[in-house]
Amino acid sequence: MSGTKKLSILLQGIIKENPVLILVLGTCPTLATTSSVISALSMGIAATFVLVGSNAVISALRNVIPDTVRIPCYIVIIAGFVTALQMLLQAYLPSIYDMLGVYLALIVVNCIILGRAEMYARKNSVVDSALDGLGMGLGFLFALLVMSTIREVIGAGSFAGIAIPFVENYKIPILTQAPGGYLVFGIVIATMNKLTSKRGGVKRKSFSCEGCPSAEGCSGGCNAEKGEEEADV
Amino acid sequence: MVKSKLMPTIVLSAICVAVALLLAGVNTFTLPRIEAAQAEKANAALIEVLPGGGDFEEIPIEGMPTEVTAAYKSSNGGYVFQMTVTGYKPGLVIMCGIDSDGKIAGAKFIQSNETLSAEVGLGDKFVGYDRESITTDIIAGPTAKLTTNAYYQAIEAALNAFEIANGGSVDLRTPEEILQDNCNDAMGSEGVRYEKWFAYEALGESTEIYTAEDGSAVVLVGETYVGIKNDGSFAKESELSAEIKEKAKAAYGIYSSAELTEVVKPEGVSSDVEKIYVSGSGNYLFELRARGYGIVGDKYASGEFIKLKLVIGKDGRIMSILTTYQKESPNVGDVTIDPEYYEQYNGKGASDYESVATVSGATVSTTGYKNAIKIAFEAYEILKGGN
Amino acid sequence: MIYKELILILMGGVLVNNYVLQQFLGICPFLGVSKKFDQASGMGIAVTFVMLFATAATWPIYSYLLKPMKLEFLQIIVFILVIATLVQFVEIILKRFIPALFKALGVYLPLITTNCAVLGVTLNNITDGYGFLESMVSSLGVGLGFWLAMVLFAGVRSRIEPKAPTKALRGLPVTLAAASIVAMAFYGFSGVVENLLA
Repeated sequence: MSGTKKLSILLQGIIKENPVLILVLGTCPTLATTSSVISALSMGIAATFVLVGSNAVISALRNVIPDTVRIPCYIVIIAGFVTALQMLLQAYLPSIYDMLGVYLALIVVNCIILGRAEMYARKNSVVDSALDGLGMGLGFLFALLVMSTIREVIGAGSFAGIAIPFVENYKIPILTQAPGGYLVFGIVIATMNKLTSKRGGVKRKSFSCEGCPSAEGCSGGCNAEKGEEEADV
Repeated sequence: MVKSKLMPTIVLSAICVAVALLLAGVNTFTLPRIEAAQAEKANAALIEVLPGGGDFEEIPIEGMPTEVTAAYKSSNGGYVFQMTVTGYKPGLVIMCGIDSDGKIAGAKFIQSNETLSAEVGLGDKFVGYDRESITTDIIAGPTAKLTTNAYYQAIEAALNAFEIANGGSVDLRTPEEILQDNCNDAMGSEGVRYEKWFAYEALGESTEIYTAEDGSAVVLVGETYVGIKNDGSFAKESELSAEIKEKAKAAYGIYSSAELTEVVKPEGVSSDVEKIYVSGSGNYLFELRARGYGIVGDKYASGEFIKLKLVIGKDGRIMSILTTYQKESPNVGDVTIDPEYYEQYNGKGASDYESVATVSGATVSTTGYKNAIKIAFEAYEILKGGN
Repeated sequence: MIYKELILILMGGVLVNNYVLQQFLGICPFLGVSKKFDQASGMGIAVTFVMLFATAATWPIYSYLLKPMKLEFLQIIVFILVIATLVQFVEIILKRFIPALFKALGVYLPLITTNCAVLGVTLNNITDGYGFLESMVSSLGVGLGFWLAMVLFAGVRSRIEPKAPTKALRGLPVTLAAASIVAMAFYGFSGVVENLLA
């Protein structure tokens, strides 16, 4: 394995297969924690930590874990990392723990993490899996930062809590609230659609829950969506 | 075959146990820090209202006023109490610190749903006062009556709780409850409700008379409550001295002989005058309705009048006044039910009643109230044969 | 008094703190399965069921097992495993005894395991310090709120999708814009519930 290969694994997640903007996974935290840059940054780093850790451990145990119970095993491992992170944050960075609230615990059910375990970590080496986790985590972080920058600058007239002169007099507060979250996400996705369709390079993988291992059950929803989506692109 | 069924279970269980053990390890490592941080956070809130306090210890709240929902003792002898009361809306939570010599060290609203943000600025008004020196006047304002009353109630509860925590005993009854208890004591009855007889001072005596629906009355002579049954006999005759009995009888005589006769409303009297009575001594009692915010308000008008009673004496001056009903906007127009407001009209005549100021913030309600009084004076003129 | 509080918790969950529209929990199924009214309604009912069962299971486990044994730190692991097991269990029971209901809801059940609204409501019930009854009512409210959002949104989508906007907006973006407007509409409820019983 050459260095460039490793780099490409890392970059894959950030741009080409960006979990939020291209794969449309992990929408809940993307919308919920992006009302301010600080909370988006915290969520991004927290999720990256869990992704790298769980990917590495799952990859290390990939020959031990039997296929039939792999999903429960993954969930337990991921939940372990999340709980550990929760306790560490509560002890050392209580303000961030309070800010993220229930969304910190809900990293457990973030589709990106279980999805990467299922799609990548169980088939690849520890180092590659950790790199994949890091790339995906950074991609998630990047998407959160894009969303939160738009929402906080326009919605609150500040960046990372620091007021921006002039802009702060013309803020649109609804953007920091729930409806604004949906709207900004819609605009960001539309922009991505426009850019990727122009280049014609990046192919959108799927509409929504495809990355989730449990999505098989959702045949009525996702697969129908998927078919249509592909027809569109 | 057995192996393939057993293995998954074993592996899953092993992973669960391993993860649980690792987490237990992290937990023992972080728990002391988390607990310390939480204690510090809780302490910070307490220190804010009790500067100089520390090492807070939660103490039981049994026997304390019902408003108190939590109590903490500081190592320096001070206390912090948390009270929950109802202002304009339920759920007004206030924290109050009292230092070791019984003076209020600080107070803070923890939670509030009040209108007008009425609680803002009340927080520190009581600092430095103690149980003896505290009065409602310190925070009384023209508006936000419900909020300020609730706040006072909470602070008073904290001061009482402080006494109790220091081993003192406190009469937790409200003044109203004390009055009812005293009246029932004097009658030897239980649970009968007594109300101040409205026209007691209008008829020339300042002795207080309380009456109940069953026809019995309690007369306050000096400090003694004297119960009189509905047939005019004393309830506890053997306990009373001759002098007190004589005074009580005299006062009761005013009540029982004050036959109010309803007067037919003469022509030209406004419909806002609901009823007019005349007493044997020639004083007129008016029952009025006033057009406050409920009637003339632009938004949220409830359609409800303010109701009041008013006695105009032989000299043409107001002898007694009482608001009996109002549904004005809470915390604002309800100033009209406050004795401090309406008793300003006592002693005023047709020439000078207008000198009572309208209350800013409750202009519509108090202007309507003043108009009702104007109507009463006009009716009085007509009754007296003027025009 | 107690029933008044319960009604407030219920209505709060349905309208004011709507998980999907105000708190961004359970977005995946909201965007994925809200295309047709029947699907949306089925998913909503299935989620409500699982939320109720999950709360009925997790609340006692937390209060009578984890808390007395000082094992609060296992909360997330235990809850997610309980929910996963429960979903399987509900699936088997339905398949065996109420095949009609299984036929209607069955396809949505596996997806619910990783629905963050379900884990979210069980965790929030503990954080908010609710008792058992309050927790059940809160879960019912949240579930009904989820159902309501799904059904309303299915109606909105059925009007928007055939209109075929610009290519870049087609699919997810226009759906999100519609969700934004529905979320805004739900702001109207915040005053209503507060004054409902005042």
